Amino acid sequence: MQNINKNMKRININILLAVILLFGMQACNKSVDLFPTDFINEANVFQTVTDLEQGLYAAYGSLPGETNMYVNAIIADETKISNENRGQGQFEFKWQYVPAQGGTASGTWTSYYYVVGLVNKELAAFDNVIPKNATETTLKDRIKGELLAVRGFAHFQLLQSFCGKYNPTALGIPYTVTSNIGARPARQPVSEVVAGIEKDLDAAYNSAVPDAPAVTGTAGVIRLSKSVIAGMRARVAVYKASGLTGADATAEWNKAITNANDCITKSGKTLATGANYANIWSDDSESELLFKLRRAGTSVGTLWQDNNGDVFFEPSEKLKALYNRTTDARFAAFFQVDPTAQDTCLVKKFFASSRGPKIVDVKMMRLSEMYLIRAEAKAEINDLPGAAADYNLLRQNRITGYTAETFNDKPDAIAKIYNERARELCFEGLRFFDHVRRGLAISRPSADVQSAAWQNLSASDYRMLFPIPQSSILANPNMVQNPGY
Amino acid sequence: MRKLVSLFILLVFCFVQTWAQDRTITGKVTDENGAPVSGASVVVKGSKTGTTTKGDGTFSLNVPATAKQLVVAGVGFGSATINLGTSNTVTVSLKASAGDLTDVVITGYSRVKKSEYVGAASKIDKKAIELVPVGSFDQILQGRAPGLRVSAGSGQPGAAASVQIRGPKSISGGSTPLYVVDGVPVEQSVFQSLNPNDFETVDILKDASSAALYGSRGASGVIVVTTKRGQKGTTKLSYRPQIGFTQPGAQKFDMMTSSEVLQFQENLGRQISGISLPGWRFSRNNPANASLPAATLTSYDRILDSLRGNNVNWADIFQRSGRFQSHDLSLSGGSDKTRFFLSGAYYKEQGIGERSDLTRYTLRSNIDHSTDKLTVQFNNTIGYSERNFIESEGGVALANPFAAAYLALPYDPLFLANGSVNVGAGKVGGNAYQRIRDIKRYNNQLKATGGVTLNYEFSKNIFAGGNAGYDFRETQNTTFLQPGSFTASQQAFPSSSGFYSDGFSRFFQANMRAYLGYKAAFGKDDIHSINFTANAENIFRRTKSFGFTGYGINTKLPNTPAAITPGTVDNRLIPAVSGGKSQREFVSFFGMLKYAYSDRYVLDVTVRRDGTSILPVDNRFANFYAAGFLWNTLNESFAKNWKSFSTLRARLSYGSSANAENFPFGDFGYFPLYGGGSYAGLQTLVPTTPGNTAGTWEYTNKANLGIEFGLWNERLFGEINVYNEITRDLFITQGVPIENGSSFTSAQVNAGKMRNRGIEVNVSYDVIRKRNLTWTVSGNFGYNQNEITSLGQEKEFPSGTAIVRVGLPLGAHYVNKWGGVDAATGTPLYYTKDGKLTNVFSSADQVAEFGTYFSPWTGGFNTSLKFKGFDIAAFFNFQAQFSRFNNQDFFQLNHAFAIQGFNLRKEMLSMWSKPGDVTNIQSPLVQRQFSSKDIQDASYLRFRNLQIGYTLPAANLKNTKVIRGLRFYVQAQNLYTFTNWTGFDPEDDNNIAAYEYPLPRTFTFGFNLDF
Repeated sequence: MQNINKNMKRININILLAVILLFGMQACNKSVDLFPTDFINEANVFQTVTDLEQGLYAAYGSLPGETNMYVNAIIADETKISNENRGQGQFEFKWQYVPAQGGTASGTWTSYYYVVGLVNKELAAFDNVIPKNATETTLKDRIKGELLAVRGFAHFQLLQSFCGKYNPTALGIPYTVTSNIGARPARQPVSEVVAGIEKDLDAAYNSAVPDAPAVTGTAGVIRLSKSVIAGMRARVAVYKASGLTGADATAEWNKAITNANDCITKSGKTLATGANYANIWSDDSESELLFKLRRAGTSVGTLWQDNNGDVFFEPSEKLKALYNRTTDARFAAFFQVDPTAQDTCLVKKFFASSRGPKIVDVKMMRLSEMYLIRAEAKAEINDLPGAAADYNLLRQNRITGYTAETFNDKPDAIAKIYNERARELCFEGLRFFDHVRRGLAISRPSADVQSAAWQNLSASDYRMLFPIPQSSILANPNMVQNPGY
Repeated sequence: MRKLVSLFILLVFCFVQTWAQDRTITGKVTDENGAPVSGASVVVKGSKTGTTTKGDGTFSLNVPATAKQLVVAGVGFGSATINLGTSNTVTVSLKASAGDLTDVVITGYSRVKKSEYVGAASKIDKKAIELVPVGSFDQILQGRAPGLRVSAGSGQPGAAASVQIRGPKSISGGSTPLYVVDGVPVEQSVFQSLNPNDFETVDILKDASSAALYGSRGASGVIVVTTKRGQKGTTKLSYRPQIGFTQPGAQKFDMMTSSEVLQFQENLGRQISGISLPGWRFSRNNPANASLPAATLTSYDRILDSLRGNNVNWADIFQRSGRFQSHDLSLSGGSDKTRFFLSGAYYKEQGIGERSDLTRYTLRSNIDHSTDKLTVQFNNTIGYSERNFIESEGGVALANPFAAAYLALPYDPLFLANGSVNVGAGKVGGNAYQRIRDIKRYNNQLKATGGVTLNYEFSKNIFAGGNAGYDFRETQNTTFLQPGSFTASQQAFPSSSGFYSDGFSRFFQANMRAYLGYKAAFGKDDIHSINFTANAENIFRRTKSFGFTGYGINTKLPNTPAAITPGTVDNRLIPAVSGGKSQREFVSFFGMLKYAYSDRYVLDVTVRRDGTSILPVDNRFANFYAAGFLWNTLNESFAKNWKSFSTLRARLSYGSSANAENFPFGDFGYFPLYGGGSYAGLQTLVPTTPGNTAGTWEYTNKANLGIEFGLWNERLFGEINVYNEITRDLFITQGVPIENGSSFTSAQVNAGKMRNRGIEVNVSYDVIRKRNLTWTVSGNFGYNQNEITSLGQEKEFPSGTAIVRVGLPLGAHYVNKWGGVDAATGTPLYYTKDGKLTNVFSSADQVAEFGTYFSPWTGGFNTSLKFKGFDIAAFFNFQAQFSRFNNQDFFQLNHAFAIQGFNLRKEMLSMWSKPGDVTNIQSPLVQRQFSSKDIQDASYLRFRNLQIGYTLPAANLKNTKVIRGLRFYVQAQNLYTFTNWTGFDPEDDNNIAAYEYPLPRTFTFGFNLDF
């Protein structure tokens, strides 16, 4: 019996040990739940409205405005290759872009979707942030509006680059509103993409975004306003209208007029003249300027000329020929004879500021574009006097001794307004897109090219749509390449 | 409950069996020299019947009639199995062993007799480790065990080696084994403060059943170090001093002399315009000099003559013979219950590069205590070391003295006429020489490792215990630049004001394990036996680093932080401060079951569940398993008559493991992270890494089949293992479609797959086994074939100078294939991808035809001869069938560097200079490219160690009464290297040789004095 007791004790000890072991296991299971101390974890990056604002600034700062500027200029007819060009941008200029290169044309895919990702990651965390007071509540709503507008704008830029002229049933791009590293999104029809853009811009417009372009510190108009959002809506309407016919088109032209009106009114700005206008390009004035990207480095100026003075691209002869060099103030503002190089001309419009050579902000939207949009839309709905009024108003501000013109008919009006867009908005990232939306061939005079092969790109050529980068084609089984590549 | 208890009692009674004893065997156990061995165990094989020998070595044992063999073993001796014949008297001679651990595999969790061990493990005995004049013990393991690839990346004293067991196990992470010292896992590759002379054995665990004990941490194998312990008996004091010197090895390349450099410069000047090097500038053949007056030309000749007269051997200036000394003192002994081992050591090695050395102080105390039921082990060591470094090691940089020694021009003198060092623009040698004096770089390290192991036997069947240990290391790295020095004047502000920089890093890891075990034997003659333990384990690690760099050094206070000038807005001497901290934790629960049937079969099964903080929550816990089987063939009845065999065992194991110790993404790599940025002068928050929220381990499944054999009473013995290891879920960089809103174009995913398979052989043979003369030869080799079998959706991606491609081994060189020099034009030729010669160098023509830098063949062999008191042992090791880029070639056989004012190799004198020149050195008019010309076979055979000693006969020492043993020896380390490699040192741990600090040749003299 004593033996049994002894054994009982032993067993009890064993049970005790087993229990201790089990408790130990429970305690241990928790101990592996550790968190980093030295990093900002995505799960808790956005906790205050200030965090949200910092996320928004990252999105603004990542918009590849100069890439758009560059691609539109060299693929269309705004530039010619300089003798000192060592290969920079030549694939684009010669329309030899292929998906594998990545390159500047395809590069906008990566850059804009990067911004979309920033926005989506932030929006996913948005509801977790509790504003501390009424001011913060308003600020938070404003930030949300800006984020949505940035997302809509990014998709719109992609749409124009990769999908061509507006065709609701054509292959669009993924309209991405989430952030999921495992997702392999497919291309949606253009109609869905446009619906997405319009939805985001509408929501942005209806948020607590201020009416007029607001100045942020010393940086200037780097944030979106209702005025700019209206301007974006006007651009979308023009893009759609150019691809539509009949009543559908008219409806969109009217939308363009409404939104251009709204943009102009809400901006509180008027067209600039004289020194004010010239100062826009050296960042000394923001008259006429509605939205820009701030640049502290030389990313813009070095598109045209490197730091050793080698010029890559000069303004094209075709473009220079559009101006009356003596009366049009724009010629002197946009072009500069380079005293150091053998070249005749440099893109002065985006080249230097008072902050230093080659350091200049990227102008994303200016008031004069709205007058041209309104003029074009009015002409399209056969309001020729209305169109001429806007057209003449702009030209009066640019040309000394200007006498108002009248349009003979609609084609005359459209042609003149189109030329005026080329003159007024050159290098602002719109020229190639204007060709795309209108279905126009790109044509360069022989003076601007070394080979006839680079002179004409028909409107139906596959290269009017950029190639989707190979990296996305490889990584995304649902991605479909544009035809021809 | 009562029922259960009754059953328990019944079981206990079943185990206690009595034997029918029906004859008595008497005998004597002696050592090889015939001296009696006391306390040796004599056991009837396969039973528990046994006794121990008396002081005179005799024994008497009653054995059952069924007994066929006796197993005799003594402390400090091997064991012997004696066949019982009809005679009742036996005499047994035991062979001395390195220790009583020879036939035991130490897994870190347990000690298993080799005869019951199911896995593949190699043991490296203390004889191979002790007293080798190398600062980091991992370098000593080179060539000592099959399948172990050790590559010293640096000969700088105290530098750790790169160690791999059975091939690489990761693409993005490392493949360094897990190191365990006396049951305590310790930090990889930090051994400068550990004293290898304290080591008794090093066990290399290679297969799944070994690695499964370590589960998620075992994929790259485990190196288990067991330190020396005290033995019962007389207290022994041992003093082992050693002195010697280190010396640079021989070089296989020759640099140009001054007159050759000048001649080469002239040759360059003829072909290239704008050369202003003296050999051309002052040359009479230079057309620019044609119209100069004769006097000027004569003065030019004198200049050239004077330059030719200087022939500085820069290698001699930067390399030296260093001094070496070490002192090792140990005290050990103990009683029946308590034993101790204490040691203290001092180690000082000066490297062959000026300014580099290692000084180490270590202390160790190991205490064992045991009663009938309790065993306790306590181990503790503390080490402090100081290392001085050369700068920019392994970099083709002018601050690296090993690079400067060959880039410097021989006609530039070291000292100017006024005695000052010849420094300034282009004075490569003088600047580097001055730099060594102006900058100090050193570290000091404190490392302490300790642990306690407990085991308590509650009953014959039930036992429990545990261990707890820690590994602590703090390293302080210092760089100091002397203010006002020439080197400081070459720096930008604020470094130009002198700086003092300290970087502290602290590593702390603790481990705890508790277990509960059950063991029993049952059946007729206890034919079945089982041993089961349930374990819970926890390991946590805390790391912290902190660093600062202060400027404006007070010249009166060199080399201390006190000399730093506090920074202000005005003086702009703002110190830089950095730091960080991190942590990780592992928990594991595992069961180990061993089942043995008779003395023939052993089945070992491990099941383990590991959790860790370094994986995302969903994948945090993973299961690992392994099973191994052992067959002691000789104990089969059919093998009864295989008289020649003394050992024959077969082993088979399979199981899973993972590579936690080399996880490539740090402690929190799976978290998607944000960082700060700025835009328009405003702060921003941007995503910096996508993390890997689906990340999991890189799993390795290992299969091993092994045969161990011994013939003629172990005169010939060896082991052959073949293995196949599949690593899956390898981390690779995979493309991400950015249109999914992730803001990333690539992410790390577990998608790759890799195979390592190979064979390992080790054999030892006693050629002569006589009383006064023994001669043993032994050798081992391993062949490992590595292949990447899948990369998920990717087919290949470049990785440095290599390509990671399905179907190739890891580390496959990827470069343009060299096609010689066109004799007509001097243009270098390359092969296109399709094998056609071309003079166009295009990255599109890169091919992977040049092998890998991970050597498939590794091994070593040694021979030892003992004649009376004399002993001599020689050890060689080799690595074969691997190739490396020799970046020295790119710099020393490249005209562009001569134009920049560096010296080149003699071969450059045969540079192409006119049509028809048949040479391998291209025209200086064409850019020299990196190509397969720069890849060399790095296979080598190295005479690693030679030791010659003399032990005084015990009889001569008897009169001293105090001295028990005395041995003198001389040894040489890295005596000679056989290789076709022309760089410094073929042995290295990476793809490319870039003036790494070569291994020194070391000669020492020492003696062992035992009291």
